[in-house]
Amino acid sequence: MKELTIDVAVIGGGPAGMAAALEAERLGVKVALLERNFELGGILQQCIHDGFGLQRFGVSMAGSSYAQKFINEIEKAEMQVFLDTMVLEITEEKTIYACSSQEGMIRLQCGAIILAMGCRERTAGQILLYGHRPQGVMTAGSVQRYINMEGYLPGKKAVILGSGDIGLIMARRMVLEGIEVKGVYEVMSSPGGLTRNIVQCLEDFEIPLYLSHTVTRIRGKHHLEGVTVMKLDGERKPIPGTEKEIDCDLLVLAVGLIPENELSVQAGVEMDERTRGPLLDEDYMTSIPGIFAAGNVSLVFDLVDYVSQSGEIAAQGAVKYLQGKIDSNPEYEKVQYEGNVQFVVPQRIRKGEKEKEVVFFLRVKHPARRAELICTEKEQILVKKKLPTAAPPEMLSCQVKISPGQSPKVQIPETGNSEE
Amino acid sequence: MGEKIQQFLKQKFPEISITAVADARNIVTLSGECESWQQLVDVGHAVAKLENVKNVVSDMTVRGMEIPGRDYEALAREGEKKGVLAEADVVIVGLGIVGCAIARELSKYDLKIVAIDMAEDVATGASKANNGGIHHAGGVKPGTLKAKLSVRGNRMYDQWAEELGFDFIRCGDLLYVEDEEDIDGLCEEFKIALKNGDYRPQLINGEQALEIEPKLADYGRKPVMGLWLPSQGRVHTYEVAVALIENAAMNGVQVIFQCNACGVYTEEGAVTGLLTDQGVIRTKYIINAAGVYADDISAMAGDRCFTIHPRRGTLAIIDKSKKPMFDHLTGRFISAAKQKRNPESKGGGMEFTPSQNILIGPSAVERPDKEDVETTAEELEFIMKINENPEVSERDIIRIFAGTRPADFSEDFVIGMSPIARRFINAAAIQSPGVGSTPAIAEMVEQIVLENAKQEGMEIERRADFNPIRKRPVRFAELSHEEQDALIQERPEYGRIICRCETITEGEILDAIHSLVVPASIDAIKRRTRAGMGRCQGGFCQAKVLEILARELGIKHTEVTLHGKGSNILTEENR
Repeated sequence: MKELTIDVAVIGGGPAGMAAALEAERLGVKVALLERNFELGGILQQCIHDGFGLQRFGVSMAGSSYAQKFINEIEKAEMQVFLDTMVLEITEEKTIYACSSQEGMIRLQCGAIILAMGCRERTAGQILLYGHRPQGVMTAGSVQRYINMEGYLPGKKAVILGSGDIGLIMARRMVLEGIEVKGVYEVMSSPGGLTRNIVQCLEDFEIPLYLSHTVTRIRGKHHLEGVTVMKLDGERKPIPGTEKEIDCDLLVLAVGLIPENELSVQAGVEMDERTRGPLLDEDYMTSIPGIFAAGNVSLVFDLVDYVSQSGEIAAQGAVKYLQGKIDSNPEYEKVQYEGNVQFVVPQRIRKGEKEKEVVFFLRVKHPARRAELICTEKEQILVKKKLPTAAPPEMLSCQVKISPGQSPKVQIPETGNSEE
Repeated sequence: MGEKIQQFLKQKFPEISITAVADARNIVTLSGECESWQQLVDVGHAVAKLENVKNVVSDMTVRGMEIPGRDYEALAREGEKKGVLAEADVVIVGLGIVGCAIARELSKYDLKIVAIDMAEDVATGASKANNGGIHHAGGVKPGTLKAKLSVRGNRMYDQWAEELGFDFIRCGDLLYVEDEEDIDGLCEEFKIALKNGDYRPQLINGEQALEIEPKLADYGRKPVMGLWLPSQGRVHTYEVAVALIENAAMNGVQVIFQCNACGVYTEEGAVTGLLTDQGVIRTKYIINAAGVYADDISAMAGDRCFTIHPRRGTLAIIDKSKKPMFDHLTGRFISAAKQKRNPESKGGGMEFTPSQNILIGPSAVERPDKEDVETTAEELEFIMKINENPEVSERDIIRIFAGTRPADFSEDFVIGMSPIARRFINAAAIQSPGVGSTPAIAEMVEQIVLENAKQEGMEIERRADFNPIRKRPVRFAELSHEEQDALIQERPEYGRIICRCETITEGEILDAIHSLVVPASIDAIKRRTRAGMGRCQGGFCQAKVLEILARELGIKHTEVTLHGKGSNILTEENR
């Protein structure tokens, strides 16, 4: 077994992992980047559409181009990159066991670990799709992979369930490939994806979006022959009599993403039920000191720019940890939130350290107009931000200066202008 | 007899008119129109329960309903054009666990055996959609073939698992009661287990129950009495079927997939051949293990002696991160009278697979279509009511699926040589406790063949070179890191993880593809290796498995299927 000692090991070579690895190296520590695929970039490699990097680079580019910018940097860097390498186990002592066909098993003893495994898509089983189980029911990411990476079409007539961003992107992509897209059906009463994607991918291509609808039955023993869709009531129960039969040979599922935390859980990291990612502090350190998390493994972001940013935050934290600047048995102050807030990350802040800048990421529970994002400490307002519009798919962020002993509260007061 | 039955039916079902005709074997054929499918099934059951009735054949119809069936004539026309496909001594029709077991059992002998299935792989019917129980005999009616074979089959599993290298856990079943009212029912189950000859059933008090399963207390259960049935075990049924057919193939059995039986040739009342859509297989023996279609195959031999009425069961698999509540199969016993369930099949409960996935179900619903394996919201709701685990909710389900049990109206196995077509042997209507009974079913069929051969003056010799051992495939995830390292050094393919949820390597997939019985679809690979069986359900690995299958089998990407003909994953190359 190959044995290595490393300062910081980053698990996952997608946008979070690449940004974390580069930042850690820039700060002067010895870095290893472990990626399970044969190339770096993660899921960005199959995102050949435009719209990445506007926040970070000020230009909009394809996902693969965004990834390439980081890959170029990494090629110039000194870090050790392990491709085709799958991490099988992380121990609490920060030992990583990974396997690769070139190296065999690798045992890495790490000073700090950054988890950046990304997320996966929810599947037919998880959303309780009923009926037959034929070929032709696929997640949007799988369809994207088959079309963009492998060069094949998985069907000719498609229905999309869920209006998550990948589903919207794939609606447009499929139309461009000559697949008839019969409509996007969304369980919720508001879209799951970003407004710009609704406009650019559906409206511009005249693809209908049906809110408060779902697929109630899958038809076809061997290959998908069609689906039944129904309208839903306020409690998201199908309304009898609204059944509509649609012929299709492809049902694309864009029904949400789940952080991929099997390794984190196995290592013993404490999880947050709401984000389905680890419980994090302001340096994105998990409940195990020295193990950090970044990108979609910590919470599902909407924009890759934030994912990269979170990678950098985690890397700075990891280096701080290596320098002994983080208490190895810290006490925490919980970050409070109220009003129209679904969750806030980080969920807690270490007590009694010097003044620091903390970046909060949060999502609203329901769409709102002319709302305000306020961060307070007792009666004092630390930050106030106007939100002309806010919707659950869009990640909000705010940067707050926090002094020792302060316990911040994040709130978006209900304005009465919600668009239910 | 027929008239008596008709009168009985007139009383019991006055709203319909059913004709009953009994033959010399006391097999009763019913015809007439019923008002619903459930009523048709009820009529069949009612008649089958009458004294002296051996079994029931249904020609009954349902008002306003076309009962789905297969078009065998079209298949026969196809096959007749093709000439002789193979020469054999024995043809086995249907490769669920039962067909695979018979193939393996008979491969001990110097016989040319051809085993066929209509699907692209083994275990694609009931064998892939059941909960893998190796049942104790507490729930089986004494005196039935089921009772006899399940007790014997259960005991044979240890040797099978050892020889064939499949996962088998003998977890035992602990039934307990918290309500004094249920004690009588529990004692009754104990008596049944004893009478059937089940292995060491024990009636125990509440304290002993807590000793066997201390976690009962953690959940606030207060057993007042228990029944401990140590014989209960669990397998992955499809894995057992794969192990059996691989061992059979090692010993010379020829396997043909996507091959549909559509006619039986007889001469002077004895089998001479089987017509399939791929051509004729000349054979002396036909063994009918065709599951839900076994009644059709028996009819082809001119012997209509039972009817299969498919009974659908829905199951839910729970993410591995949720652990079973108990170490043994443990369940609160509730007297049958209190349960509102299908009286012919109680369905399942909270179970777990040998890979420690919680399995909930199955339900039990009569359906007219033998291939109706649809899941429904109602059935899921039904099985989720069984869920007692406070940690588990619908949110933890990774897959819901359903299968159909091949039930006949006597609700017993139909195993035996046909008196109408000699050398045609039924191994049919195998439903719960079918998986546990399978070793004994195979043995019984073996005896029938040997006895017949003796009577007909044929000599069947044991093969000196029969090898009962099928090695357990490499399971990378189960090895220590040192062993994993050694394996990768020897064969680098084991270092490439294809399915990340279940940690399945390319090496394991290659081993499966290059085995004697080639798994030529994505689902077949899943059943061999578990790739795609985890929480992402193939979301990440399907494309990789597809690539490997295309490469190794030398076929186009667009030719790879999910589960055989008509289920191609990709339709065409893109622009």
